[in-house]
Amino acid sequence: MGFHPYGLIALLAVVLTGYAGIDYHRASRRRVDLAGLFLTVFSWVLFVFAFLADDFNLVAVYSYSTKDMPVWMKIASSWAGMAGSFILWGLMMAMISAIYRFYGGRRGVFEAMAYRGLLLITAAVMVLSIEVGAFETADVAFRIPAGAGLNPLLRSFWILVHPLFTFAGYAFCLALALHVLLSTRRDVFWERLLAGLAWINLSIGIIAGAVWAYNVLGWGGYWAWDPVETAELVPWLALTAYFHSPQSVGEGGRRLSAALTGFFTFYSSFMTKAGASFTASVHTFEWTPKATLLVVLHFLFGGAILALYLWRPGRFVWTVRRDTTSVAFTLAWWSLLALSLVAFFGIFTPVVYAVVTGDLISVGMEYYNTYSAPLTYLFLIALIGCALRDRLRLKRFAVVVAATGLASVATGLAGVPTGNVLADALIPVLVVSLASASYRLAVDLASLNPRTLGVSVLHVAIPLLLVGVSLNTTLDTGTVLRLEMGQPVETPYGITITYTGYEIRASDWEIFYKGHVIPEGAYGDFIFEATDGENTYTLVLPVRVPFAYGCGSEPRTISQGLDDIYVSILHADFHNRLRNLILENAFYGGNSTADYVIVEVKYNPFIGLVWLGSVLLVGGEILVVGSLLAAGRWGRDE
Amino acid sequence: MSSVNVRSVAILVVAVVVLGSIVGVLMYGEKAGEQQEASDPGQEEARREAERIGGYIQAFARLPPNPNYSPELLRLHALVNSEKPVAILFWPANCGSCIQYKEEVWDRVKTMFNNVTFAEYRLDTPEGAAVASAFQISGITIVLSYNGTVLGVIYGEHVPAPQLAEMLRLLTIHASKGVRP
Repeated sequence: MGFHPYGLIALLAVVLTGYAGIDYHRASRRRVDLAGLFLTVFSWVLFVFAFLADDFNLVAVYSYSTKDMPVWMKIASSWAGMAGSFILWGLMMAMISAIYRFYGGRRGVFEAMAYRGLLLITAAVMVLSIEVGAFETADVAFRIPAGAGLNPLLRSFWILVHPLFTFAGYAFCLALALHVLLSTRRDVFWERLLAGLAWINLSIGIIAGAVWAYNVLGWGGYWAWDPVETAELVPWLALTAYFHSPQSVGEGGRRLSAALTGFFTFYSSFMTKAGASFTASVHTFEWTPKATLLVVLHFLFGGAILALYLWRPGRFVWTVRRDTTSVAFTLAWWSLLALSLVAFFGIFTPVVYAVVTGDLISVGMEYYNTYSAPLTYLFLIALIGCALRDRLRLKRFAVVVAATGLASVATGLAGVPTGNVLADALIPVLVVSLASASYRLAVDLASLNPRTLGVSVLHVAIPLLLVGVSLNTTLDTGTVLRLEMGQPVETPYGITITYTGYEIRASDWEIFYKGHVIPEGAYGDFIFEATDGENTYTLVLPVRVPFAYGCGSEPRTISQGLDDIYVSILHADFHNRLRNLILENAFYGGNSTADYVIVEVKYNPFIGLVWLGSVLLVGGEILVVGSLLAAGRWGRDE
Repeated sequence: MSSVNVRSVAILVVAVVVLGSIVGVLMYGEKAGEQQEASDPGQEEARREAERIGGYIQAFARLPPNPNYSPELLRLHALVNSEKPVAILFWPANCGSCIQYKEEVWDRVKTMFNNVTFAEYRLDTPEGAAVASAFQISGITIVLSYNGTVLGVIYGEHVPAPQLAEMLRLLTIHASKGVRP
């Protein structure tokens, strides 16, 4: 294996940012830090350029791209692999370091120690990218004519959204953690801005991942508590706790939640990159022999963040005033902290278990739903108190809580409305919290203050989203149907579906595989017509069978108000019979016909509430951050 | 306004959450595996697929070798008719879980027997895919055969423990002289 010349720029970027991180005051006089950040960004540009220029002798380009792919997919394939995603993270770290330096400097809150931390993390991330082979070249004496193509599950618009926002979120989380832990003076607006941007980016990253899983990957749902997706939720929960800390647990709690956000960010990144080596995950597009190295490095950096907290933990407020506001905020902070710990140990314990025993385990819905439901309940109680804090004194708030609790016991025992005890017990508190948050929204609408309005919108979004989640996960149902060509089949969900035909073709792309240029694979489009009596929908379900990757199929949905009818080809059918049929017909002169297709038709009720809640959640915080920026609150005296 | 110190309660609650989570993961982690084995409809699908592949290869083994076979098919014909026990792995090398499976199950089994011929066909190479296509094999498959008789087939990367034990038992019987202590 050789080393691509572009890698020299990345190495220089590492040296300069690393040097500036270690000896900032000397380096900053000569603008070495800026040169390092610029070269880090430039390394990413060169890396992407290698993909656009079809430089297949670069192993990363060969592994995830091929010459016939559209431009957007080539750009996206640059972060499809581990090395590329580290460079993307490096890019985000460099850009946010620059924002910290310039805008933080303009506001007068620039903290050299925090900036040095950001520079060191930027350098370390770039070292990791080089270590895992970002600039490795194939050891051949000829120009490799094509690549291996991209995993079919990753060929989606959402690969442009999910990783970009996730890594931007990680970078903002680390900037926040370092600033909070290392700054000597507090600037509420600057920290609120960093936290808001971290939260918006992480939220969009999580939601985009959920939409991707639901609409493209055909995993049947938007959230499965898979270890890798849970990993992104953990820092999000700690960050959400951070927002509630000033009114509850004081300086110590604020610093602790910022530190945990930073620590969890490193752990989250580790799970995404190397978690597949330690736990069972469906989110595995890659496996790395350098998993142990990644564990050590991530814990080293995460540990450093926790050490910074222990170095100056700040005064933790353990007392709760006897008023609704104090009780609500304290309950919110502690329930969010506990939720983040439940999620963290849900993914951390299997890693320890794997290291100790060598066996892979993971936990799913059952563990998370059981453990997170009571804590979510407490958080929703806190939301009620928060929304009604100017209307209810503590005693009346206690009465509302008691009444809601009794209603929960009743609905839980009665099995109304879903028959699932956890979901049924949550329904009363969801209804009361939704009503309370809506009241607060109405009050804030009258005041027309965009900042408080934004907070109210996102507080309405939480119960709305959770109502959707509770009803969707408990009331969804599905059926497996064998659809013979031309024969309509009535589903239990008011839809009649007919398999009308299929088209099979060899891929237009070429790949270089085992020393030969061959077609990338074959595609099959399976066509269905669905009707609900009034409307007719044509559903084309693609099955992609690339030679270099496992095959994949995409589901299709029919939206009916808040509900979805979700149609997918059964994995066992497309992964075996249809895959072979497509390959045989496209390449080996086969003439067997797909007379039938086995599909799974799912009824997903109230899924619209999940998406509506998600949009309002992010929209609310964008309103808050937007109002902060628009108000021009950049003076030091704010 | 008066206030209440919640330090002890908060520490207790966090300790319960942390310990409870760890215990919960160990409890549900194990249960999830057991339940999957008991009720996963995919296991039934995999069992039927294994039966089908076994039937195909058994028929193939009993026929005389056809000179029009590709070299790879001829090799496979010779393998399944070998007088030594044979274990053949068909696997795609382009997914992390499959590589893990190969390393953790297959390579481990390989070290346990020295009187068994082990062979591998990769589904992600044109040569391997051509052989697999003949028997419509599309996922990880292990075929055990001895002297022209297919002893067993395991299909799918989530092999339940009893099936794996059965494979080891069959290999042990037929390669008894070669079993390492």
